[in-house]
Amino acid sequence: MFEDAKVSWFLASRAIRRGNKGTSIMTVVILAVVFINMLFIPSILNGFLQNFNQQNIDYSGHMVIHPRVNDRYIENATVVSQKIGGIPGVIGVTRHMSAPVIITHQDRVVSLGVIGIDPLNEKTVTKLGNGIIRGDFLDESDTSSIVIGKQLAGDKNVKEEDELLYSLRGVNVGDSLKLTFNNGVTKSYRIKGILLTNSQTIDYNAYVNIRELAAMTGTNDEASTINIKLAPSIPVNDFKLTLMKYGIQQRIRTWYEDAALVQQQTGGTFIILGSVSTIAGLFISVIIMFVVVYINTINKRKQIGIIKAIGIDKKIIANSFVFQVIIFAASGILLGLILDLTIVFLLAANPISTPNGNIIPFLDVMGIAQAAASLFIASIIAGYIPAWNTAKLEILEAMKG
Amino acid sequence: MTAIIETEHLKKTYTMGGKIEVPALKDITVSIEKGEFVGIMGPSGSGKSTLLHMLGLLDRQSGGNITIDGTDVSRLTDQERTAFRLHRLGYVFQDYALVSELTAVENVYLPCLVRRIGQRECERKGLDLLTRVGLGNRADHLFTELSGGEQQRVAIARSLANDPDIILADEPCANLDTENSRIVLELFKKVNEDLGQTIVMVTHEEWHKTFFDRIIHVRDGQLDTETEDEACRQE
Repeated sequence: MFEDAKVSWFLASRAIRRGNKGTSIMTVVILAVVFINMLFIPSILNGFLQNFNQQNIDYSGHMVIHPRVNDRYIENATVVSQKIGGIPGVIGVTRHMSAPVIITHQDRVVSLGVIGIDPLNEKTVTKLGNGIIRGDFLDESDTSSIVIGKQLAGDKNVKEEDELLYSLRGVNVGDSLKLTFNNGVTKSYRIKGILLTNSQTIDYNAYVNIRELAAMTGTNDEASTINIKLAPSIPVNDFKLTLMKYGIQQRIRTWYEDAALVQQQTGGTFIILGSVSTIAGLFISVIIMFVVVYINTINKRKQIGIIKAIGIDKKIIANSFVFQVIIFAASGILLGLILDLTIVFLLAANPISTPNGNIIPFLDVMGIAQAAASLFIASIIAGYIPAWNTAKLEILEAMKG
Repeated sequence: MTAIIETEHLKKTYTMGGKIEVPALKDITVSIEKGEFVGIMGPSGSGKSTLLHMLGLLDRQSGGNITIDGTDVSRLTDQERTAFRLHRLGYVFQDYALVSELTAVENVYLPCLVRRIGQRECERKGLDLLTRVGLGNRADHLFTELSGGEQQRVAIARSLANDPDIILADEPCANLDTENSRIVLELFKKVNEDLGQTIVMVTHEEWHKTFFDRIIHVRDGQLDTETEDEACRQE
């Protein structure tokens, strides 16, 4: 069998080396494009999920403690935070407090939830402070200062109808915003800084000192969430149990669970999109290989008849075409992978900008292996069928050409 | 002398369009001795190529028997027939029939490779055979770089690659001019004399007769005994 394979390889290698170069190159290029198509769309969808997960970690931390099911807030938030901060493996804890508010600036009125943050601890958990593009981030002593996202601040130079979200039409650092809380309390705040994180959720928010927000809303040491950052060596999912053991009775969610939820919600669409792209790619590759081998065998019918006549087994002949398909498929996959990695590299330098952040295509080894294996197998099957059909022809019938 | 090929009441009928039966060979009983250089002659459509195809195991007969060197080849399976062709028979066809992507020497040693003999040994043999047919200096040329006569000599060298007992040639000079035809026929004669191989050749050229030890005349799918009697009288 190995010796027969050597003869098949002998015929295949010579056929490729001395056959029609244009057809060979065209076949490899088409297979490479098919392979790119199979990888690229799923890599964008993966990139979207990766971006979501990274934003989740960057701006919410690894774990988030939510109030118990029937509670509105986490009571004694400072005590709970300190307790969590003392657990080995925790490198940062901060509190967030959310309250509905109406923001007014001149004739612009926006209704949203202002977030109260603990400026000192915030830096240990999230990258919110790194997003400042104008002015400064909040500090412990701030009471009448506010930091707002770029999308909320808006831009005077952008036409109102072109704005994605209703904005304050170009407010800047130093401008004053009037905040009206649910309880009717009103206060003016000076814009201290403007944030740009490329996360729509963050960039359309307003942030004040949590102590200031508590004073305005009349709450006392309460929090909407407690956000936790863990040391890199700590397994996030296992740490949920650790928190429970330390007596944390509130709802605990990991970023994995949030990611799973998003994947669950968008997964169906992503799977359909990914499958359509993969199936279309495989279908094209099957057609290409079938046509290439079919035309090749039709053109060589007479030659195949002669080879059979001199005593060469039909399996050796069919396998010589299969070896050619293997070379085409392997070359196509390799070329496609190189081109796809180049595209990913270029897009990593120039990410695709979306309202939910910059998307960089994400290629995982398992996905590449699966796409390569399916393209490889589909091509071999598609090439084998016409090769076998011609190889099994009666000698005299084949020799007629 | 021993008979290496024997046929008994050999028949071949083709079915055209699934209904009409066309008899190509009606009743052929012949015997070819080992080491003979035999010509098969007859008018177009007489069945001479069909007879050669039957003897070369390229097609199956509709009736009768073929025995080659004591083996009843009619009983062989397809796989056994393939192996028999590879090990025992050599072929030369009208249109040279070389593999276009192989060089002259690769074409010659291809059957040898299939016999699981090492590539180096096969290459050496291929070069020897090409030298024997006068093409030792053309070994690395593709068929497009060879003349018709040279291609046919490569095909003859290929037919000798596995030291077959019998070489079957189907009008090998049909596409050649007289000079190249003579070179090819002389080569066959030399192979026959030097190596003692049995050669069965189909031709319709009268002047080829001088190269044959014996001629089998075929007409309308049967042995043409009248022509054979006439030939004997002339001899």
